[in-house]
Amino acid sequence: MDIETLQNIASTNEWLRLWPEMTLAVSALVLLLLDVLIPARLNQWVVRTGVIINVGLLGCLLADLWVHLAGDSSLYPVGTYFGGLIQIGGDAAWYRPFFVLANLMMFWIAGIYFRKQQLVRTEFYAVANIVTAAMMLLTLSNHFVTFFVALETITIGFYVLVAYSRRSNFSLEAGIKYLIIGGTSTAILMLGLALLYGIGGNLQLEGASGDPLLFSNAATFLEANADNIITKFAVLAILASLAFKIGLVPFQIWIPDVYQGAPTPTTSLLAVSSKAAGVAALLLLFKENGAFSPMGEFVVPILSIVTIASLIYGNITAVGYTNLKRMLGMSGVSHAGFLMIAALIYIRGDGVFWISGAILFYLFIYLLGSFVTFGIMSVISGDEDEDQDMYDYTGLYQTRPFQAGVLAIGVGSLAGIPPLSGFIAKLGLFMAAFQSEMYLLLGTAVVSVVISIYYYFKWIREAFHQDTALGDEELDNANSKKIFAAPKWVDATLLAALGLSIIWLGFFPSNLISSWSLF
Amino acid sequence: MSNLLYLSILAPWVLAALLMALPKSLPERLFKILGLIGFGIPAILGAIIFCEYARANTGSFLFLSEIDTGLSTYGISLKLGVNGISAPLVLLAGIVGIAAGITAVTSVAERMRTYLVLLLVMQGGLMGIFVTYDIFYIYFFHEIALIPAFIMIAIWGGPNKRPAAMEMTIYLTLGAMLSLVGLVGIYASSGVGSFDLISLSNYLSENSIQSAMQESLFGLLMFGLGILVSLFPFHSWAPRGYSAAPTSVSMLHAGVLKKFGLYALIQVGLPLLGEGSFAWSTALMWLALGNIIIIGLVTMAQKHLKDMISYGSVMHMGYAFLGIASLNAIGVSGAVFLMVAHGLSIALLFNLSVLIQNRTRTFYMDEMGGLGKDAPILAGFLIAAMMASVGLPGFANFWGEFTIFLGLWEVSPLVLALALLGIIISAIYGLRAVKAIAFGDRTEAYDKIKDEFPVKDINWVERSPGILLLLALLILGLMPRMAGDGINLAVTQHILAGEAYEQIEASLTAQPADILLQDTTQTTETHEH
Repeated sequence: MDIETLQNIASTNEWLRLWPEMTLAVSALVLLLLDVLIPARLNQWVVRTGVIINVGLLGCLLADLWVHLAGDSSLYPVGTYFGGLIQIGGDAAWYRPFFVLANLMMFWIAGIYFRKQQLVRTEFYAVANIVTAAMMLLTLSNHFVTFFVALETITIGFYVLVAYSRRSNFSLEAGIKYLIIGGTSTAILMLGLALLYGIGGNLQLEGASGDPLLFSNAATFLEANADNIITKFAVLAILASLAFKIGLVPFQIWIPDVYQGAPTPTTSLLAVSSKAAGVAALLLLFKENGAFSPMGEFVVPILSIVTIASLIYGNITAVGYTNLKRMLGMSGVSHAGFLMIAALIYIRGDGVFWISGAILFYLFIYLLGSFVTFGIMSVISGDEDEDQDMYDYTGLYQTRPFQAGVLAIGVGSLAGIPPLSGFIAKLGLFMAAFQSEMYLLLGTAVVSVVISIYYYFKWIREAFHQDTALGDEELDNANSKKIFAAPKWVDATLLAALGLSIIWLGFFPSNLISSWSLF
Repeated sequence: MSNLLYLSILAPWVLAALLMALPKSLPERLFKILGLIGFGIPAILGAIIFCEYARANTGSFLFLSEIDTGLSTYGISLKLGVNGISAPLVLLAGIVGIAAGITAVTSVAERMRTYLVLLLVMQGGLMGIFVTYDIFYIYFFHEIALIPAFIMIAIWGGPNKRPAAMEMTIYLTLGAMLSLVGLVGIYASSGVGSFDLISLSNYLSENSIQSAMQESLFGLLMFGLGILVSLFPFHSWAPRGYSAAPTSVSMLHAGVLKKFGLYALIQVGLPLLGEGSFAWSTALMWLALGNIIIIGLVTMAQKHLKDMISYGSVMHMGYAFLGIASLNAIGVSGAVFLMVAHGLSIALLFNLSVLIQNRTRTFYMDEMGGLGKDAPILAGFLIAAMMASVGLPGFANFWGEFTIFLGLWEVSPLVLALALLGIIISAIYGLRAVKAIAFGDRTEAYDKIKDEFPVKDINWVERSPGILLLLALLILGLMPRMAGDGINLAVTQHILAGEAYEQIEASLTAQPADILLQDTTQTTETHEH
């Protein structure tokens, strides 16, 4: 990038193309500043400012998406910017509002969480904004430098968020574990990038160029050198770092401990946004003319094995946990497996034109289901983020039928039980898998749905029973006297709205699905 | 007419929503009345739809209409219509629904409002299964009806509800997933881009799916739906689940919901996967014999009344499967007829079992005896129900089993002979149960109970579900053509109309008997010359 391009960037206002990311980043700074300026008794308003900015941004992004769907390209600036670092257009129009929505949902859960915890608040929201902005940037990247910076910002942000509850040993332990394993994954990513840069810049090889980290140059180079062992290794190393984000076997080892130890809002963000960002980045690399698109034939068998392993391992491990955060973590591994089935179909590119829409729909439904369950969990859990065990929910229906009902809807949607929308999401994947004749993956998916019913239904059953399955009279007596906290009206309204939208989208997924075909 | 189809699904759901919206403080009586209205509307609509359909004298789909629910990318939309096979099942769902509703309001369940809401949701799903002809929605409505059943067992179930609910949920999910893959497979490999049964069968009658694919798809459907219908050896969830479930749930599940598996196999599997059905018919036949003989013997050994009825219901599913496996018009029509008859009789038996338990305070038959003296009308109902379930002529079950046997005769007399053993088995356990409960000497246990709680005969409210169900059984038993004509037309014109069946039909008509007949006519002709 020479000085002229830089001048060009400044003079053409290309910065404005990144307005959503910049809004979030600036709002993070504004929050920190307000925290200092505003007197402590008005502290609540700092958080509220953050919420208002996010709501406004979400509204603007939805309007933006609408313009994009209307197909008016003069209004929607499709193209590459910053000398090729950023590409605007495609699925990013969907992922941007998705991440902001997830961020807002996380704010809500953080609100419930901080009511019960004596912790400094503002930094948490500020860091979450930065992480969300980085995720949006990741889906826009067109160059491995942007890719790396965005991915690293996400990871570093999560180091802070995971270890945020400083007085909790669990949280600190989770922080250390995430730091070490996250660092390893960064190292692997760096190795892959270095190899790609080194070999792609070797002008003796066909297709090499001066900037092999630009996606289009990487694609040209990989096209010509798909059989080179070093390129293969580089591609696998870069994919491994994404597998860490998505939580795929064998890069899932951090999940149970980190999910359990991290504050519940962080866990929810890890479960939803981090996974979605990884999937979005994977699709970005393998889209038509994407950086790794020539390597499809090489990675499909490897990723298929990873997918099958994730589906089976995630579900079987989840069966053994009664700690709900650990269980949700491992069930998230199997959800990642489901998403990978769709991603494989996308990578193979054999004619299921609606597959990227099906992935988006799956992610959106996963967001709804996850936040319903995490919302219920944070409403119910006690002051010190306790009550995370399945048997702590025994008798919930008898005292709080509303919460039990919403929990059943959320968990049922995660399990994919009709008529809830989780079923429609899984149906799309099944149909796509059948059409691309991926019978082995389809069979594995079916088996893993049946296994997952065991632990999901166990949770629902506990919530509706009066006595625990343990046969422990002491525990049963304690539970029978237990009074579950009632949600505030805001929380109750949001829970009801999420629950109803899960049901509604199960019956009438029309608007979301019909707009898929535009991609 | 098509509005009535919508109404039959929506009416229970609207009343369920209304019940949920009403404040808790209102008297329970009001909830019960609203609940009964919710069950009454589909029952009346079911009868109207059935009669209107019978008047049309056809077997094809009628009263068609369509709503786009936003899944058109997948080729799915909510298409409503009934044919000769679904019309009697709509009637069945309506009648069993109102009977189960009355049973529910007369029961002593806690939280009656929630109980009725879930039961109404189930009823809406049940009506939905049989009034739509979009394969996806047939499945979808089945699942809607299934989920409340799981929750109701978990909340209101009897002893052992915890393992029973879990076993039933996992087993049925497995079955549902397998059949879903089968259905999606039909969609994907047909290439017609639609889940709608009419366009699928029109298209596939000319461009059938490759035979290898047909075989695997039919296998998926057979085992997936087989699990849902408790095909041997995948039946173990049924007896435990039904024993643990509250009675009205057992009535709806065993009476109507379980018929979904058979219904889908007949409506979808047979016409669309003709070659596949031939490949699997022998295996299906032997598994069905497992239901009849092995489960039949297990039923004979039961001492717990509800267990016995549950096992008996699993056993009778064997006959329906035999009818399907015979792959000829008589057998398949018999299977449909038996589905209706069995649904009515099993609901009646579950209903009576709880009435008996209310009086004897136990389900164990060796602690009963002599109930006929104290409650003669109840005993009368019990005898009638047992006779119907055994297949006594005059009740609808007789025609179902009889036509299935006729169908089997054409295919395999050996299987027929083995299946006939089942009649003896069911007569043995049925009569033994009647003797143990209604007649014979009073047991000590029963005497003790009777001293404590005086036994009264059943009153009119308790009688009403029984009267409805028995009446339906008798009407269909005495006038089987009311439903049989439509079933027969639908089966001959639509279900067994594909190429594969034409070939087998041709080979059947070329049997030696016909050739002999032809020869004699020829000889007579020459003789005249």
